[in-house]
Amino acid sequence: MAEIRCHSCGKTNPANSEFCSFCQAVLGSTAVGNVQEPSLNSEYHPTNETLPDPVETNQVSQGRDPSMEGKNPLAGLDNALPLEPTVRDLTKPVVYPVQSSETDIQKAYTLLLSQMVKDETKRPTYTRSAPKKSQSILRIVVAGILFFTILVPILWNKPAAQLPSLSTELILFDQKISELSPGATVLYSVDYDPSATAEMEAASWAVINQLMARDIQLVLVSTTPTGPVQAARLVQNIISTQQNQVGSPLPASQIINLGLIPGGSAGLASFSENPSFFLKDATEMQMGENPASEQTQPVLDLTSISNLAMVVVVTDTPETARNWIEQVQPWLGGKPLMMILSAQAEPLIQSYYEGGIRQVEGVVISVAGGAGYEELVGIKGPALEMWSAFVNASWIAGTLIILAGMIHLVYTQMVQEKQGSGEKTS
Amino acid sequence: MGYFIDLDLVGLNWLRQLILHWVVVLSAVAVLVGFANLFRTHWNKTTNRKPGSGFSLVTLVAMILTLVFVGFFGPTDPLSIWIFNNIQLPIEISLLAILAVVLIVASVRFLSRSPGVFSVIFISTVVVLIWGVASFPGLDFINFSSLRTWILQIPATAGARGLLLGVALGTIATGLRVLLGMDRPYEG
Amino acid sequence: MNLDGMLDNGMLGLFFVVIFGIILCTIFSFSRFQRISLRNISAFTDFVHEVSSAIETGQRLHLTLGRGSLNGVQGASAFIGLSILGKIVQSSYLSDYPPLATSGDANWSILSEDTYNKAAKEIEPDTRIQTDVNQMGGFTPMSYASSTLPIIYDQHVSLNVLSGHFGSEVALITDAAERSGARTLAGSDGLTAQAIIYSSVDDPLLGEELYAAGTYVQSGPQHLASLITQDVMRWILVLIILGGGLLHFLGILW
Repeated sequence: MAEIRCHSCGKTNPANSEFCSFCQAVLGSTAVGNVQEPSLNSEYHPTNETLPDPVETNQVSQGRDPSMEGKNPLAGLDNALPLEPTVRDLTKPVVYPVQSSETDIQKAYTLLLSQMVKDETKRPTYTRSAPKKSQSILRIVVAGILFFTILVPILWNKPAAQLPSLSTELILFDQKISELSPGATVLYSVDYDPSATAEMEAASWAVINQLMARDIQLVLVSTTPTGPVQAARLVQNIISTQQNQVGSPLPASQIINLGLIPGGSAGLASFSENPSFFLKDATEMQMGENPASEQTQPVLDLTSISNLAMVVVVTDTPETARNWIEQVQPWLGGKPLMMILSAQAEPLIQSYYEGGIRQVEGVVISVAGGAGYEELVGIKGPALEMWSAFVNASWIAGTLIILAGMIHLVYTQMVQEKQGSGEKTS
Repeated sequence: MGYFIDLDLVGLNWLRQLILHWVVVLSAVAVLVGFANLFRTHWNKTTNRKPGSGFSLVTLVAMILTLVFVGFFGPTDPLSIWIFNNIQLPIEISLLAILAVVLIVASVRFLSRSPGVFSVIFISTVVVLIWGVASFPGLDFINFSSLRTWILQIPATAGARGLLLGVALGTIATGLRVLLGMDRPYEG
Repeated sequence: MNLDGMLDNGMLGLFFVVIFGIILCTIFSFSRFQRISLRNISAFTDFVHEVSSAIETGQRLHLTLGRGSLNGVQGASAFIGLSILGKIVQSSYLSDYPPLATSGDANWSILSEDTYNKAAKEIEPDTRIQTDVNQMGGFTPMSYASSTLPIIYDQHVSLNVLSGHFGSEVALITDAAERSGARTLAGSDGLTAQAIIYSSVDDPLLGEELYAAGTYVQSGPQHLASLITQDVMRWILVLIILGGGLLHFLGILW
């Protein structure tokens, strides 16, 4: 193939090229008289000689030299781009280094932004922050002191702490139980959580022993899911304790476990108004000599709960106690409602037995009440056994709160001041 | 309505009894639904091998065994009582023991968390109520029981009643909103 | 004048509830036209900020509804929790870690699942029904509390919301939240839980502040109406208590 050499850069181009493919200079030569009309015809190859120098031409298109017409579209035009000199002088584009004029701070911001954009696509992984050592040490120290405080009276058989004076409610409790006639039916509700077993069994031990010693019919019931098994456990423990006490046999008593009353306050309301609904298909469990025996017989002829001689509720929550008072007590027909409560329920139920209208006749509160009641009726139980440890732990807990609280406050202030001064110096 | 009015006067007591019985039955069924939910949660964790699936497997096995034994023998059977005495009871009581430590630590840190007059009053009241249960052996002359009784009877009861009145108003408002259909965050 | 006779038959209580309902409905009808300025409760200001922060940092929100019974007075506080859950889900459903709900009662686990799915469908109508976003804890207080601990520790939770009926076991939950570095907003109807919450939580809600949550998280005009109604009835109660005490002191009432 024929080639043509560019007059501007000296590179060779195919013969039919119009412009140099390297420097865009116009290729070939055309005599002035031989300029052809520009057209799309591929045979037309304008050359330098055919194109007039538009820089030297000062005529506008209207007044331009007619001889210029027909030469090329830009021929004779004033201010037209001077193709020849500029295009001829075109060389390979110079590569300029790309160097932005941004400052270091701007660069840092740019990097940060690009990092943030990258992080958006990543799912972050979080590790749990390690607990502060000081808090862990505090917990261990508190637990250790409490454990030691409770263990000492038990192991070394220290002299028992003084019992608080007997309250009116405790004396009334004993009175009401003493007034029960043999064969009376007493409803005993076991309504505490398993976690409160230690406290509530200690508080109720003497009461249930006293009830069983009076040869009454004890009907166990519960409104919590774990209540039936807790009631069975309590009675089993008492029976085994009685059997171990040689020389103090207690009269046999019939104990019936009715199980769970579901529905909370609605269930209690339904039970109060229509107890036979819950007794229709109830399984009677006779607990006494053979706790495992079951008899599917009609349990009680309990058409109304006013037929009961007494209702005893053992609970650790004020809400449950309130449910029994509000839903059941109005239907008792003057029969006593007695309560064995946890310490946390005492403030809220106080108004029910200290107010003008006594809806609760007798109350035993927590370990203190249980220990006092055991002392009153002469039954040694878990409340008296744990009383010294309980008092020691209470006093140590209070002392810990004050002393450790003040130490912690001072320590925190010192740490904050150190951090504050550290920030100032930096 | 039956709580406020004697429905026997209008002959509707039977309806109240019926609805109460339905509530009792539904509450018992809800316990089963909760059991199923618990089972499903731990089953998903175990089958999908999520972190902690080992504990979920133990939970599932314990649930099934307890359901089988207690369901067959009854909740007052010696075996059921054995399971309760030796598994559930020690765990729950241990958690309560941990709770005691947690509460004491929270009280210790309370003054540092929010120092102020009311914090001092709060801590002082807590300590008086704890110390007021009985006098320390050998220190019988230090007795906070009368102060404890006064705090329980007057300020604590007054504050509790005020709070409970507010809670009761909120409860009535919420109940009325639900009954009147104004508030249904759930579907249907 | 014998007040006991009136109190005995419960008519006074029914009358109170009826008046409450009438005022509530009246205020609800006009609440859209009212602009009420609410007092600032820092707990809710922090709550809005924490929800946004949790979404931006890709962490999870956890809400627990307590263990109160649906058919008792303890149910109302958990209903408030459902309203908060709906708003939380609407805000954070599309985040990296969707929120989780736990409860200690079977009824609340069902309702929280429904609330979750309803709110999720408002954000994404084609979303499938989620069945693993709510967990039922144990049936006893301690087992319920211990079932929430793995969620708080292991599920990247940055904010815990406690709204419902709790007992003393709430201390375990708040302690776990603090040890994991998460923030806690808590309220309960139980006084034992309120005492513990006051001493151990960053943003406690005491008394009826919990029942104002629906208004502060903008769950609807019905919450604002009930808040105003509560204020009105509270003043009426105060006047009754003070007036009744004065009349009793003067010997007019017995």
